[in-house]
Amino acid sequence: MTGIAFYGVVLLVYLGTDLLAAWGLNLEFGVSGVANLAYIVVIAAGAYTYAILTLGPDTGNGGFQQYVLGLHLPFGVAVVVAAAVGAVIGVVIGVTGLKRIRQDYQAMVMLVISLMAATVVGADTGFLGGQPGLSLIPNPFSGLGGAAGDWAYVAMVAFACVIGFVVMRRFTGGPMGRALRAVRDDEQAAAAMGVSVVRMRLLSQAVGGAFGGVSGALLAAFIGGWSPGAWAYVETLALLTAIIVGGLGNDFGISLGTFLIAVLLLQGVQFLPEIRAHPGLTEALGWITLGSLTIAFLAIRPQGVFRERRPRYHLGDPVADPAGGGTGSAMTPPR
Amino acid sequence: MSERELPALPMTSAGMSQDGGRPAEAGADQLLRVTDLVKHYGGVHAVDGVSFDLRPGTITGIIGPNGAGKSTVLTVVSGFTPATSGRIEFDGADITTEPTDRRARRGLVRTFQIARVFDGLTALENLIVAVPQQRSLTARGLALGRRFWGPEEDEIVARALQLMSTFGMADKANERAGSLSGGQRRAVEIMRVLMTRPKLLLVDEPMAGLNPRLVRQLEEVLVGLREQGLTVLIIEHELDTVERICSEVLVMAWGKVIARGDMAELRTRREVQDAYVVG
Repeated sequence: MTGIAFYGVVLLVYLGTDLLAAWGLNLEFGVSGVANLAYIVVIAAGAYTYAILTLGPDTGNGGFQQYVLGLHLPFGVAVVVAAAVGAVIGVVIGVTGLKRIRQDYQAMVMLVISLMAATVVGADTGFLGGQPGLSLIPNPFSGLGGAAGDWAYVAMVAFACVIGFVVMRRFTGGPMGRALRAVRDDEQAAAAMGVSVVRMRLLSQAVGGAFGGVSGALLAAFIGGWSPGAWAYVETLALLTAIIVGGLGNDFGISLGTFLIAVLLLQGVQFLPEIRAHPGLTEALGWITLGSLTIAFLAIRPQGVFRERRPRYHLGDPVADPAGGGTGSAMTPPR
Repeated sequence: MSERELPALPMTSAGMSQDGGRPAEAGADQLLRVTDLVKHYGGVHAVDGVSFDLRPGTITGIIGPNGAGKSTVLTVVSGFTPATSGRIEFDGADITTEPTDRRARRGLVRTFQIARVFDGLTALENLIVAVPQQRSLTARGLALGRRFWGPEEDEIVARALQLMSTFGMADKANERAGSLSGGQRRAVEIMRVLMTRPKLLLVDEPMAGLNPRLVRQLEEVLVGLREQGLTVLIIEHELDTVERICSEVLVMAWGKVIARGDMAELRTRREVQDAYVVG
């Protein structure tokens, strides 16, 4: 495989895993109104879970790295467990940060959780490899070797994205998305109507967490390693910017935003020439641009490039039921 | 609907008279019973031993000077803040410690002093989302999709559209609620409450900020709802409104109920006059 082709594979896998993560965070932030600045923690939880479920005992490979559990589970099982762990961690973060705290304070609590989690994991070498992290994480297609294995991985990530998109639409579209948006817009008014705000928010945290868990697992399996350096809190800000630029709550806008921000911008700056007098400036430019975009969009176009779309209904319009169940009595499908 | 217009609901007879709201059924059980309700914020006794009952199918007013504890009573009864002590029974059940959403699902719902709508949703969606226990929000609904909940959803949409037509707001159905005027937002909030099919409606100064014509139209809406069997507890500063629509009035001052009766009689009571002047 040529260098360019491999780089294409890397970008596609990054795009796929970032899409899964962005959809999950959009469900929590764009649709449910939880500014989860600790979202990277569920991604990390998925990555570490996959690693310790597939690496085998830490006495292997000369025992050069330490971690708990150490099983040899199949790839699919490990990813499903990673999703479940992401969901549980998402709920735990939600329980910690959501009850009776204003949204701006929620964001602060989440940020602190993110920093604490990275510090704790980095400090305890015997738990998940400490600061050096874990390496030699198995890739399910490594047996195929070379280009075939790489493209098989891309195909598998694409398949995960298709499944993820279908699942996400169940939560962001339709009545569930409507109820979550009501909680987002005014949780007290929603509660006054009988909506269980805590239940709805924890549901979105669980589903969003599961998306993050899968994203982390797929990323770790592809990279082959994972350490606290891979999940700094600013990674959450990159996803948040993608959501803000693409359009809060707009699934298609989020996807575009992810491509523009997480792939085009943050990878694109690496092609800029290095400035000898200021090493590291080109990489920093990516983050500076990202921050500037966030501020600019929040100030000028807070709804993002694509505004959240809402369904339109008309009295007495006989229209086809989108599910093929006959004609609807009074609704037209979302435009 | 324009801001100058707030049409009344079509009335249905439920055995009610138009003369201030006698109970729908003589001798019926109390729908709401509040006993020795106390709410302290630190050293401030916002509500200090309030007791009252509400009969089904009546409109009861709470009046009193600013700081009397009226809104706190409503906030505690609706579950937005816990009572320091006392007991709240609704429809025969002790709901004193229940959360707001569970009280709402029992049929005890409220509106807010400043109309609160879900800005990002359309006006119609504001109504649809209020319907409790929708099949689409269950695990089966999520798993099976529209095939499972479609017919119910269509029914809810049709009902909401019909209600918006009744309020003369059908043309606003697909507009985002955040872009509606103040009067329209108030109407959406009331329609949203009606979609929950409540038993008891708590309304906090619904006439605030409305012009006199809208005030009279909203009064007609509330009387119409009472005639359909709804029970209403209303906090209102506009005493003429209270006199026109309330069968009984509680006067609050210093966190206590200092008098109760019909408005015409209360106007003559010395302690009520003192509370307004002194309080």
